[in-house]
Amino acid sequence: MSHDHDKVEEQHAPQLYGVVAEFLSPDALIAAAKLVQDSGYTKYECYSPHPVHGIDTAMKTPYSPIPWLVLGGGLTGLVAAIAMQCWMNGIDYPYLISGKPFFSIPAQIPVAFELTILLAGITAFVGMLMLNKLFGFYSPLDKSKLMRRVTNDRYALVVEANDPLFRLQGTSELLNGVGARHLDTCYEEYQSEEPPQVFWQIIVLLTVLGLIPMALVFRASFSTSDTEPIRIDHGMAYQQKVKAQQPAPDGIFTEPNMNRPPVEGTLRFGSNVEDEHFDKGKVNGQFVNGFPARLKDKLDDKMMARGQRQFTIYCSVCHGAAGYGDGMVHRVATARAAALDASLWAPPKSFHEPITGSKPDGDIFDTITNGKGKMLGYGYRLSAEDRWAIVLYVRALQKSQLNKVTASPTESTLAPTASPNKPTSDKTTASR
Amino acid sequence: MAHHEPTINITSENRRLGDLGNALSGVSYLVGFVALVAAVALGYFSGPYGNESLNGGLGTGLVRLQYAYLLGFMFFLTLTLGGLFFTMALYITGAKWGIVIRRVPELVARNAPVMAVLSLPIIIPLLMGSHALYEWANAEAVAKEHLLQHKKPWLNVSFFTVRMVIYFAIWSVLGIVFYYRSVKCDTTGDITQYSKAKWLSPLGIILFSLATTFASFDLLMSLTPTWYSTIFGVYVFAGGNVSIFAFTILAYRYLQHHGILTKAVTTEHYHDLGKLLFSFVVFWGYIAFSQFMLIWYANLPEETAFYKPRQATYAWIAISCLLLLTHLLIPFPGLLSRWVKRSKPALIFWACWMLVAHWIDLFYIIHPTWAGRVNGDLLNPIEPQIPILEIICTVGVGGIWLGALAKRATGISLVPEKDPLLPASLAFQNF
Repeated sequence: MSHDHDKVEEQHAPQLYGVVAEFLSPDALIAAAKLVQDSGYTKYECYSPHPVHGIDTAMKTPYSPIPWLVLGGGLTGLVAAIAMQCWMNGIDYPYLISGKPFFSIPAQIPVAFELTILLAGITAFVGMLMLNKLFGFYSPLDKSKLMRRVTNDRYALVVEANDPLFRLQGTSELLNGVGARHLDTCYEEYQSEEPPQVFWQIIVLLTVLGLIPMALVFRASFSTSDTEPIRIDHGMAYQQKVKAQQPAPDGIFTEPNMNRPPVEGTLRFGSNVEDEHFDKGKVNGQFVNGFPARLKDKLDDKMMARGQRQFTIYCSVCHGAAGYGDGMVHRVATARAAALDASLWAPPKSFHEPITGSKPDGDIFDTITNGKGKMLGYGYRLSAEDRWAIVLYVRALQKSQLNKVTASPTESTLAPTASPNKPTSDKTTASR
Repeated sequence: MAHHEPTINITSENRRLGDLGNALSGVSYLVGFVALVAAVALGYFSGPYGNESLNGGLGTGLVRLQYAYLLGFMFFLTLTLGGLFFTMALYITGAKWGIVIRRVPELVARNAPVMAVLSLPIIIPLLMGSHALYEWANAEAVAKEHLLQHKKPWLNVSFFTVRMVIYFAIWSVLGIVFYYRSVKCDTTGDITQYSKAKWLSPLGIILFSLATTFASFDLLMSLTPTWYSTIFGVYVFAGGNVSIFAFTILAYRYLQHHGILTKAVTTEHYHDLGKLLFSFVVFWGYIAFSQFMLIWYANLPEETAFYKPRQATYAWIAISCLLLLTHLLIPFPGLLSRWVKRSKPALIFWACWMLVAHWIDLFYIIHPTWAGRVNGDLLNPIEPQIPILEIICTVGVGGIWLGALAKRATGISLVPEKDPLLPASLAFQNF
């Protein structure tokens, strides 16, 4: 690298870049700038550690294009924001919010306002830096000792050597004449249009290194792993906790364990039985056929519709809409069991097998309330009346599939015509 | 900052109104009184509006006049309050640039006691039992509306009057004190007056904000008594500031036209006034939209009560759009350029424009309530009327306001000539 550098330097002998004149005050700088400008120089520049009032007029600087750039930036932000929101809310993903139109200017103004200001501000900042040539990597003036204090408390005027009026002696005299405290000649050493080659090597290296984490992330999204995921934030996955059966840490509760006894006077669910038939489907501890007396007047179409509704919501997912035990859960589970070649799935009961059809109403009610086998109990989430309505509907389903149409549903459910041939106790054990 | 231009010697400037002040004051008073008398006469004959009960025992003829007068009154009250705020803001920020142009805002703020007197035509009918302006003053309407009963501890005639006295006391005292300190420095050269005024300005600005906010609620927001908007005070304040910057620009152009302060007030000062005018155009838009958007989005009946009558018919929608265009959408690009703010004719044009826009803003706030009351339903106003009566009332109030201002300005220097920061202000330059 240094070898190349020497070669190039031989080809380009140091050329005079310009003359640096140092001044002690902004006023002196302005006076000098005025004179240099009036002498007809065009390629000169003033340097100052802070903005100086009046330097623009002294140098007859043309008006800055920054306002136009800012206007362009602002308008870009405005149009982009409106277009983005019209596309997102109006076309790509129309989502109704508060009944407002999809193309809704008032709702879009806040984002449009922010984006206008953001782009205008960024344009002003970056434009200012670029127009002041503050993005340059190198300037021959960096070598001048006089320029170093210009970042602190001195002012400088530099006349460049490529100005048509530039003569080293004449220009120096002029600058001395306007009150320059020191003069310094500045030479342009090695200068190339291209950045050094090592610059590109570093860029390529950094780019490749920068791609590695992204490649790993990309790979991770397509592969599986048995190791624990690396967690930056554990969130709620790992937190301090004590399990119900473990002893409680000292001083938390008066009781020794984490699971505390219920508050005094708490009733267990289903422990306050007033009407054994209505709440449990039993009379004297035995399941009975027929509906409880208090529902006698309610067994009508309304009750049937109620039962159908609750059945559709809670039962049909497993038992199927017609009660053949072929609901969606069953179908999916069977498909999965077949795929895994392991039949762990106990299919839901069909209501149309004789064994289920012959159960007394009370038994069906009990199954709905407490569940059976893998079936969940619904006593917690359905009122007793809802459960009896489901029993009513299940009875009707059974009737419909038996193809025995009777005069009225009420009559038929009150006295089931499907004659049960087996005793109640047998049925219970069979289904278990 | 360094001074490169030779500093203007303020004593070589013509700094007094002299005979011009007396003439201006006389003409203004005359125009004002004539316009007010004409407004009463015209108002009396342009009625009757609404039903018998509307104006208490005062007949129905003068109902619209009260709204028209309120408009003219509010136009100059907001201008006066803008002047008070501008004066205090110059102290509180320690601004150097604005010392040269501080005297006009001070004189405007000093007009607060004049506005107190001019508020009597609003308060006296209210005390005499008229509820032409404010529905909450009508016992029958209050009895029907639960919300008004709920607001009765605040919205009742006696407490309203007490509050008006408090507001005008705060504004008047502040206006007089800042004016007194500044003028005293002129005559005695006592520069401690500046630091005394500066010390008072933060306290003053707090009192001012509270008084202005609640006065906006009382005088304008309670025109729609069931409606409320917590940002409304800021909205009125923003409008007032737009008008004071416009007025200050016009005032100094007028003075310079008559050979006063021709060199002291430079393009740089106009440029800064233009920047402030522009910034408050944007600020007004920001506040107005903030108020609108939340109400539009929530769409609750008690909040939309303000905007519904203002969009009731095509004519009202046109007025709403006119306000949006004249107060924000047209002046925003119009005042955006640096060139406009440094060009005196352009700045005069936009200053006049913004004063008109501020008037339209107040018309938009006040006129629909009158139109609704005439129809007996605030949500369904009659069509907007050609605002001749409103213009005459504005001229009337403005004549007296300007007369008092010019009279006071005649006796004093029109620049705080011994203010410690004046040299810096005279040498001020924008980048």
